[in-house]
Amino acid sequence: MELRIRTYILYGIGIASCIAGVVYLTAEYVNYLSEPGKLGCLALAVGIFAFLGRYFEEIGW
Amino acid sequence: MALKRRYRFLYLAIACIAGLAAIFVVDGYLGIYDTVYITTGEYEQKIEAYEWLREENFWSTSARWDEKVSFRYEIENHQFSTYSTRIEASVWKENERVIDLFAEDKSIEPFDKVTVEWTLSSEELESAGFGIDEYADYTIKINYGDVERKVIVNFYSPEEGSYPKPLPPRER
Repeated sequence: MELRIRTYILYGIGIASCIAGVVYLTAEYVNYLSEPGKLGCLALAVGIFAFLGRYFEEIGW
Repeated sequence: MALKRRYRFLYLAIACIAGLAAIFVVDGYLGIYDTVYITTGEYEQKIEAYEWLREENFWSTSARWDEKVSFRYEIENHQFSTYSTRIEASVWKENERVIDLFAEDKSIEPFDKVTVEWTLSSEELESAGFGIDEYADYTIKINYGDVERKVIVNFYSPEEGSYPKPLPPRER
């Protein structure tokens, strides 16, 4: 296997593991939040994806 | 300026991430939190508010029949307003309230706490008509507001728990 592809695969596994870890910890911690807190988190999470989407769109991705 | 305009959505996304972290910290701190301290024998157990979020909504402990079980109950008010509530503790057996251990109205100032104490002894249980054969479970229900905490105390007879067994008197 080409070295570059192997590196990309390893990067992919690393990034996926990090995201899975963060998602798991967040899901655990969200249990301790109040209902308004959960709603605020949901709104901000939507905001993160929307703004990142616009940013990547503007830089031409 | 063009550079700043280009990154404005990135900055907004970062601000949202910071807001998310701020909600986690602030929301985690604000609220009413209670802690139960149970002392049996020489051991003190501390049960913090998050412990009750487990699947089993009770805590169990054991005590010797002839020893007192001491409870210390602490309610912290992490709110900007005064919190008033009635704190009650009672002993339940087979879904029936058998002894009232504690009942008092409390008013807790913002970002302050109150501590109340009570004890459960075998004498109280005996006077209520309960005894012990080998083991006996009693449920202590602690209430404030709409919150109910359950502590199951498993009493064992002093003979069961005394290890090593005392030696018989030596014959002379």
